[in-house]
Amino acid sequence: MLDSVLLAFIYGILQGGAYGAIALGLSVIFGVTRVTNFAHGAMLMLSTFLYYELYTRFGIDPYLGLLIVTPILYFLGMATQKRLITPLLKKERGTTQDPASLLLITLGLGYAINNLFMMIYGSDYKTIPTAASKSYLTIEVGDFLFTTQWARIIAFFAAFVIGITLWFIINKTELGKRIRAVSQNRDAAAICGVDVYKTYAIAFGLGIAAVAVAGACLSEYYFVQPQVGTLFGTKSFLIVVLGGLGSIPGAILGGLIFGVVESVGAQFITSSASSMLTFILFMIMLFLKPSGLLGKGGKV
Amino acid sequence: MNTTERTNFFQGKIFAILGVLILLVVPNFVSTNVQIVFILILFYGLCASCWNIVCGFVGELSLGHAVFLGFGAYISTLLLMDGSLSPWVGMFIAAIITAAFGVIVGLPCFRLHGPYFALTTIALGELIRIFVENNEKVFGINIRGAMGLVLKQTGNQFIAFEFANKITYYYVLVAFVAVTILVTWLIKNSKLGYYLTAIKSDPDAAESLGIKLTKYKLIAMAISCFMISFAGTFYAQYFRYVGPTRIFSHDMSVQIALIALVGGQGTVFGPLLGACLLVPITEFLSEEFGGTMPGLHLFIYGIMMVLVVLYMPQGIYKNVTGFFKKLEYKIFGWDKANRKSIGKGVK
Repeated sequence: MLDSVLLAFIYGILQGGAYGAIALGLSVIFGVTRVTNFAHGAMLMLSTFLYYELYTRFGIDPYLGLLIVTPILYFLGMATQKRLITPLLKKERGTTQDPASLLLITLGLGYAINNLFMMIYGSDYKTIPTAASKSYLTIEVGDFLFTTQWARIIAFFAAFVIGITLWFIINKTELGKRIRAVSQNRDAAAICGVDVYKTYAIAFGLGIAAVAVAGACLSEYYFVQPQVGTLFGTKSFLIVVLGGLGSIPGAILGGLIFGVVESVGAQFITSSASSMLTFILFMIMLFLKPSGLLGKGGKV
Repeated sequence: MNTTERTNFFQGKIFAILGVLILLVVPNFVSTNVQIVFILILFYGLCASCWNIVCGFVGELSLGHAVFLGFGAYISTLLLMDGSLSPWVGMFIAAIITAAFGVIVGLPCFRLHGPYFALTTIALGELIRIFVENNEKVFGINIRGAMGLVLKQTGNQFIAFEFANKITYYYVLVAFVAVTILVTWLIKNSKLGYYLTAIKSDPDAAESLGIKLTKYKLIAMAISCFMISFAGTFYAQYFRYVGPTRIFSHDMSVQIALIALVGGQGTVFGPLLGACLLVPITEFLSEEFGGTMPGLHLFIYGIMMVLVVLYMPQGIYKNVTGFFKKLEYKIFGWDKANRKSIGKGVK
């Protein structure tokens, strides 16, 4: 019993890392632009389909495909911000604030993308049978046997790589200084000569690029299917709120907690019911401390 | 004097009256397939109108309203199946329970705003769906898990809310919609409506004027849940099946919200108008291409949402009514002084 719980704990940590990796981009986007990007899951799904196409057509492994897909999604993110969100932000200035419209436009976009892929690819489950998904890591200590795909371990570490990269960009570079300025006070930053909307677009692009990297790791061991976006999109929201909207370490911490709760919970109740636990955890967290575990209000 | 007043009443309403007449009369003369589309229009219009009562007036985005729809469907159906209680009585019991549940849920949720509120309602919807899918029994009541509730076909019985032809269902639904529209109109023109508008535009200012935010939000929530539960009962009786995977689904919630938002939130007829526009398009398209392209209608919903938010943030209601009013003035050539004030100046 204890063994199985320990195993579940390790699996949960690994899965939680992947959750964190996916949630990171969302957190950055919210932290900078205050946009709750409901199209996040759809972007993840879109990236996994690009990897799938690259693999089936040209035999390019998703880890290599990163070099192609990440820039594409970066520009896609920038375009989303420029074409859809910036016009709304500009309209809002001076008149009454209506943050619901920002939420709605991303919701509509996410729905459109998800169902566009549903139309093109149908709801079949596809997999990308790469080397990393087929080779297993096995640890055996006495009775204790632990086996997992290498792809899952890579996904776990990818979360930290993505997190540190984003943290470095935001806290240590000139661009990051602008991003932080804009996120703290849009108008003050504009007075100091920062192109606010361009910075927003870059931040949005960064967030979407981050989800593309997570998508590569995910597509190595998970299904490629249009519903994947909705599944992980909803989860990443819960994770980001749990960890604190806008906080980079918070996203990873939230992901890890989520993974463990789901995985260990599944040892005691059915696995689909254990995802109820995460929803309950999320709601309790919201009512007790809406800013999340590591959230500090306006800071990224 | 008398005649001018009468002209004034009809002025600018010709097409609205025509639209209502179409909804009332036309389903009598069309094939069953088209009747089904009309029923769907009114069903979604009803749901969207109920959603509008709480979300359109209060300004918080609920993406979990399918929960209350499902509650209505489940409770009345369970009362019918296990308690042999007529749905006509059961739907009121269901409505009261749903409204109470809505208040219990709303009490903590209305402390949150914007994205937090929306996310909580999503989480709530998913929570209830997974719970119902995974439990055969709750408090000794057999809710039959993921299988859902299947109602037997027993023929044409008024008392059991079961009719042989679609048209009877349709007119029952017309009555539901009429009541909901009336309730919405009454709210909008009552003190409650003014309070809600004040809360929507500036909660802090409203509170400083002595409006109890939570109290009025909860009243709106209770009314909304009460009404949408009727839609749930109708759903169960019409389809003769309630499956948790569909009725509690996130898609359902989003669909309800999108129809209301495209139509025009905070208006009396907007949500119904949204349903009149979106449902026929999507039904037609999924009939044409549905087999080859699943998800097409939701794709349309998404695109429409983006376009509406970008170009008509208040929904299509103002534009559509404005267009028809202008058309009317062109056709009947009513005096030009009025034309400016009614046709364009509405904001």
